Amino acid sequence: MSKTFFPGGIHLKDNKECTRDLPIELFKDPEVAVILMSQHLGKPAKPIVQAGDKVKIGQLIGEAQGDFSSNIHASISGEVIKVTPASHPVSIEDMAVTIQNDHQSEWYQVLNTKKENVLFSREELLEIIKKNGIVGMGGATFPTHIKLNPKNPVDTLIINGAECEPFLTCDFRLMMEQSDALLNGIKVILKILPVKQVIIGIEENKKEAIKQLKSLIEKTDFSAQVRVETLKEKYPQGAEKNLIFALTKRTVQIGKLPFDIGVVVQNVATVIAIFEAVYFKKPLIDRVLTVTGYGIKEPKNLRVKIGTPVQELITFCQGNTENPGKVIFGGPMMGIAIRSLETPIMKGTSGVLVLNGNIPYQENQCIRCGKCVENCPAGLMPVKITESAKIGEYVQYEKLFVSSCIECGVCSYNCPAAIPLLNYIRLAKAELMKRRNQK
Amino acid sequence: MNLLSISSSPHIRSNITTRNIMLYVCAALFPSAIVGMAYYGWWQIGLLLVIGVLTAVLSEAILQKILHIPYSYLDGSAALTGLLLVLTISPMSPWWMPLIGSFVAILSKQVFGGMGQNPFNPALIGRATLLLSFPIESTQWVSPFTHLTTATPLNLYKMANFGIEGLNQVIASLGGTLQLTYRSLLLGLRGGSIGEICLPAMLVGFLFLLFTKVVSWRITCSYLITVIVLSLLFKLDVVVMLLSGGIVFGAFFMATDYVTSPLLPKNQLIFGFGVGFMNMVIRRFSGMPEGTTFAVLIMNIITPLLDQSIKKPVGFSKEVKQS
Repeated sequence: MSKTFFPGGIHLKDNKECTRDLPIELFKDPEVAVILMSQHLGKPAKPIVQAGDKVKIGQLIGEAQGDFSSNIHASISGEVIKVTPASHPVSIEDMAVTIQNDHQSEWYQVLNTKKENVLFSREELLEIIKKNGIVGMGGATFPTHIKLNPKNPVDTLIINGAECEPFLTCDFRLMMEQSDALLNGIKVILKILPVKQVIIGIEENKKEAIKQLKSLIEKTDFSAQVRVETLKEKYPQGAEKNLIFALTKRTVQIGKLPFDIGVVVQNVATVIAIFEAVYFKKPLIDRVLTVTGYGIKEPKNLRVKIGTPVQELITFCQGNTENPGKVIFGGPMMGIAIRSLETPIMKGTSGVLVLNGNIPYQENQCIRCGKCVENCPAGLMPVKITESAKIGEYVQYEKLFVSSCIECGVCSYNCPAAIPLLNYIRLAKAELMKRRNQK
Repeated sequence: MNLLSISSSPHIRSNITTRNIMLYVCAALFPSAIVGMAYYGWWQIGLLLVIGVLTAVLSEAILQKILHIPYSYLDGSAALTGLLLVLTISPMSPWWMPLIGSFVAILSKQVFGGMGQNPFNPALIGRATLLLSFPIESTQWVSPFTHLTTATPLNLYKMANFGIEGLNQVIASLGGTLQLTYRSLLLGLRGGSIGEICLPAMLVGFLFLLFTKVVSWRITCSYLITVIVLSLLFKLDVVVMLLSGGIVFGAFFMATDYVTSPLLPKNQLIFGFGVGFMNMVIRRFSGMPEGTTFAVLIMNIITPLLDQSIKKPVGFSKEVKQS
């Protein structure tokens, strides 16, 4: 029996068939890499190089500002040509270091090419993760060294292989092609967090990955501790709180975090990045992503250097760069539409989706069908929040638990009247934030 | 710099639309409409249906123009209202009955601001208006095929007040020849409104709506269960109660109307119970033989009140509320 969360959620057409069987290809180093200083949750890193400096691959170019931040490294070797704001998907423009490739491909530090046994202590491991700028690669980009150092004792580690967003297949390919790295990464985390159980949650549309990981785990020495669970194909199965409930039946209470109920969740890509940092001393300078969508002729799974302008990927995959319509970083449900093709790939970019223009949102009158209420995975009433937001009735926002919304987009997706419910909820959230800060 | 179009997520949308939903409900009513035509005459009932649907769509267009409401007369909701109205009137209705009924039904929706704003089920407002304004034309019941004037089983039941044998005795004493059995009630071989008589036809439509997830089972089930329990309590024949009059049609297609029924599952159960209760109270204690129309309309008033309640979100606890 496959596990799932409730209430709410919907079945989405997964659209993964065009890339799911394509092995990960290595994308060439870009001519110019634009490396943003804010690729993570928390304070942006501070650039520590200047125009004219020579940098090598893996060299620190942006220093974390405090604990709740992350280091940024050069992804190619060459000369820094400018340190200026560049196109950023969220904040429109943000500080970035631009490097001109010298095609020497020289590494800053010597990489370990053979696997060593991990003999580091817990503190040393956390330091390695922090130093190498590892952040959550599922999209939220939460600094991993903080997540792996929880205040409360935890007994469960969940590895998120749900990949519930349609179109994306990069996590599936990683699980298929780098299973060993994944299992070794789990071993590293177990040294940091000696949990009782590790659960790898994978949606049932990725049966091959489930089978392969199960048989590999049987051969390891920690097979008693680690297990693979099949998840029902239901969106948003991979959302942290829903995934925790599906796999452990524990509910994260409002205002609490997963470690409050003894759980830590890590995305498969992050676990592999941890493995590479610990075993090979490799900082987070590249990532695997899926380039796909209706506007792409040859969809692909690619390993891409951080800082590669998205235009190069679209050209490589035979997409239309003249008039691409809408380009999205991430999946179609929660991804961010970018405004310029010069926007560089970041640590949290799990996909580049080219859609043919906008979906027409011709908002009609609500027919009170209640689908948004029925399908909300946070148990909210989007229709009521929208009614209040339309007339600015902010006293209602708190009563309707607006801040519990995880912005999965199910309400807007499924509204027969095409009401952009999530947009109204975001308005309400922002207003509530503003008023709380004023107090 | 070449700028792209942006919007906030989600970037895809399901293909479910208001029009789809309305067309699905129309399709669900199709079997009942066909049976109505077959039983009472293709031309006669066909004409009523055409007049009802066309009047509804035209009234919606005209009223939207006058009231400055954005045009949506082709989204299927007006056509559905017209269809529902015709299926709930007498098969012997003169042509001007669906004309007036449909217009009033649409008017009752548009004066409140149109789609989604109306407190009452539009089709039932239309039906109630016809029933109260033209009581004679509204209650001319005939037997299927023969078109002989008859009373509805519920009219008879009011007189007989005991099981199905009693019904036939009353029919015989009135000089009628129609023999009512459970089987004839099931197939709709009785007097009644155009669409409400044939259970299998209605059931096919309703199962289609359930299967396509257009409606939920909650309102219908709690409505029907309440009717069954109260029939037993009032010592009435359960089968006669369910299969004569408009309870099944009401439970399948009227009480389940999105706009005029509550949002939350729990409240839908309460709503269904309320309709069933009012319906049986009207049947048992009032002067009228049937009460589905008014039972639904009465509970429509309570819907906004039920919709005041707020669902507790996932991860809700009392501590959170206090902080």
